[in-house]
Amino acid sequence: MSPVEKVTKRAWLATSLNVIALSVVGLTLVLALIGPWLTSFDPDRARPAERFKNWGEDGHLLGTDQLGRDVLTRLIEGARLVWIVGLGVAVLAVLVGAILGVLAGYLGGRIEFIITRIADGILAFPPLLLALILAAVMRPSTTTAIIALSIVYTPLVLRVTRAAVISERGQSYVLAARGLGNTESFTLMRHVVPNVLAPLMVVGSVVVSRAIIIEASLSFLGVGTQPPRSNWGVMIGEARETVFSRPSQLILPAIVLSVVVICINLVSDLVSDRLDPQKAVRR
Amino acid sequence: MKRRTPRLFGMAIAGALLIASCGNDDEAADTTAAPGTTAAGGETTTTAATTPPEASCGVLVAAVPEDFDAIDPHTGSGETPATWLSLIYETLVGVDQNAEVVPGLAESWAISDDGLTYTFTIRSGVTFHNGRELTAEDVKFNLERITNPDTAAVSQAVLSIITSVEAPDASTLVLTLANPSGPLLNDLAQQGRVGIVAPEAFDASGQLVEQIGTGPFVFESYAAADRMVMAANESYWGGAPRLSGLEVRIIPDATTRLTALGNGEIDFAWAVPAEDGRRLADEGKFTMQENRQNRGNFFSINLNKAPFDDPRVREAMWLAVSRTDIVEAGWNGAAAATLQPFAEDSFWYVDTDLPVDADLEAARALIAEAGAEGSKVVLTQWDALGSDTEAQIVASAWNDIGLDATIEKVDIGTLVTAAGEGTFDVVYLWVGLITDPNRPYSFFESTSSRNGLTGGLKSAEVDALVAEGRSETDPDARKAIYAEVLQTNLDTFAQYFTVRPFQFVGVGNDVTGYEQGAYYVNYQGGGMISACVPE
Repeated sequence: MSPVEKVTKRAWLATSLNVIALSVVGLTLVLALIGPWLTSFDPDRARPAERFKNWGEDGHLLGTDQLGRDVLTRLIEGARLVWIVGLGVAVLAVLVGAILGVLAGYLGGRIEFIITRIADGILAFPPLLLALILAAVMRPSTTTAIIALSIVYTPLVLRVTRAAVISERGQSYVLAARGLGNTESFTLMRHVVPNVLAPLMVVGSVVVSRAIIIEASLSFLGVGTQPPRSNWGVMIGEARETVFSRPSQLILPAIVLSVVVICINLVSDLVSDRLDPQKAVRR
Repeated sequence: MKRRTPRLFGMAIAGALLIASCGNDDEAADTTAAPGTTAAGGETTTTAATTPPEASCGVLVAAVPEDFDAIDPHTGSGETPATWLSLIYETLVGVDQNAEVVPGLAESWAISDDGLTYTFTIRSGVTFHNGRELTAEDVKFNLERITNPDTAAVSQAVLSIITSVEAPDASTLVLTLANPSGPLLNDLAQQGRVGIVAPEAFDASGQLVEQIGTGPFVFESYAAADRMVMAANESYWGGAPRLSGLEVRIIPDATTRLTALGNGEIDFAWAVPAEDGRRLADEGKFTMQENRQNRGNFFSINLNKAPFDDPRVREAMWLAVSRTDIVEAGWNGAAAATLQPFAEDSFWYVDTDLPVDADLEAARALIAEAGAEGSKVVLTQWDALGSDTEAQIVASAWNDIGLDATIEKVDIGTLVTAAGEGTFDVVYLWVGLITDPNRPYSFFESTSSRNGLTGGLKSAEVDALVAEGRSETDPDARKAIYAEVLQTNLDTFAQYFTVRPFQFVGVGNDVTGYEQGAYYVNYQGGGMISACVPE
């Protein structure tokens, strides 16, 4: 194989992976939006008489779980939750992190010192551990998990934003804008913020996939989403009780969770490839 | 980030491989396990028991789900101290395999005709682990510590009936009671709760600082949330145990315990889940023994809070629940429907009508009649209770009849506080380790700290019945009294028992001579005393 062929092949592989990743992510988004209209089963309501139906039996495409709930319906319902959590955390963390990051980076001084020290303190904890502590202290629920994860990921956004702002702050065009007599806030909004948006998009997409998997872990451990609400982490946790006798109950949500998270990671790589100015130059 | 993804995925793969390997082991297990099984069940064991192969037994490793909440045989309230501290500390009155009262540290006793004076003769030749001989004075010290409210002993309330403890000589102990008591001997036999400790093991402030008992095993070490290690007591009065030592590991996750038992990492597992346990046992990985006991899961509906103060709402909530569903879906068939915390073959089991199926139509009608449609119901469950399938089945059933039920999991402290203060809607819990009806039925007393667990039922009539049941010494008469208390409960729809899940222990293939007692791992002359694992 010639070097050229090699490169083409690699590019083709990368492209097809991206296509798959984008379609999976798109599919879960669509399912999250229209899921409730696709199925006639209630994802949360126990129907003990219909427990452990086989695949395809009585209209249950992927069978039913130990409480007689349709597994496919629960997986689709789980997709809704995945997006609520992923986007919820990303929006909260990016909003708060960006505001604080811009303030810290642009104003500097004591404010910067205080904000960055607090952020460093939060960053010192492993994310899962901190989320676990926060979620355990508050009353466990999906909302709690979203708030806890937002707190965990805000410093990440904050640091990226602050770094970007600092590098823009010293640029001559910013100095020129200030020299022209523009107010501080105008300079900030007109000249600095737009240049920070690209890295924000990248870090935001990373937060989405991290939040999803940590929320699933929290739910698996019982401090995130509470049963009976369907969530992939909850499904894995519940199936653990019968892991030897009904393994498919555990493997199915585990595979779905893994595939979706891998695909979101690929998409977030794609986003960073497109938006990262340095990578853009190389391309 | 990407490191974490394969971990979850890997878990699924590992699970799949585990299952595959179990399948492959089938034949091998059948052939290799066969001789072992005969050795365990057949004559070999009997011969072994009569002529114990000294020094050939090693250290048995057991696993339990809960940590010791105290290493003190008076204040430890959890399941683990209650079952395992009995290997170190013995009680005045012992139990046999069926948890019936037999002589223990007292080799005999006499009860006066009025039922107010108990005279115990302390067994001679019993020594503490420090070599000192046990005297009646030592027992007196322990009973006084337990009945002292400052100790906060688990049995303080039930033993407060004792007005004086006298030790006229080294081998005689005289207890005087305020009233005659049906359950006294039983209360004195509560393993791990009224254990006799050497008085020199306490410091000046009354804290237990050393572990000195009389039991078949000697305390060696304990690491919180990890393990307790014990060594055989070679000078045990009943003959040294066959094992050279015992290690109790704390492994909260049931599947981890099962896997560890299946691959021989541990020799004994407490609380084995029925369905998965049965599956691995059928493959010959270990044997399961039923841990027979009086026990029951219940829902307490708060009688004093709207809309549950309306008896129609409570009746509807009872009618909505199908015990068949709970047995099948909640416990995979390994449970029996019940209305009381006693096994069907227990002396204390009262025959009642036992509805097993739901009557949703009647329940809906009652809810409509009471105008309670859409009422919010928060079902509070202990977060350490492992499975919440039963609560989910019940919550779904209540949603089906027009209520709006959700589940909330809290720690045991919050739950008990909520029950004490009557701030809950519905509490889901279980009560177990019951050897005498006084314990579950005394919850109905309006002064009981556990009154909330009966829905907060306060009735002078029931109080009088429970007190009468406690001071009655004739078992048949007591049973008739408790049947009345039960009937009152059934009529008020307050404390609602659903099922008695069967309890199992897993015993490794290497273990011989172990037979599970009713609840206890240790009873007079059996259990862990007669068990053996190769070195």
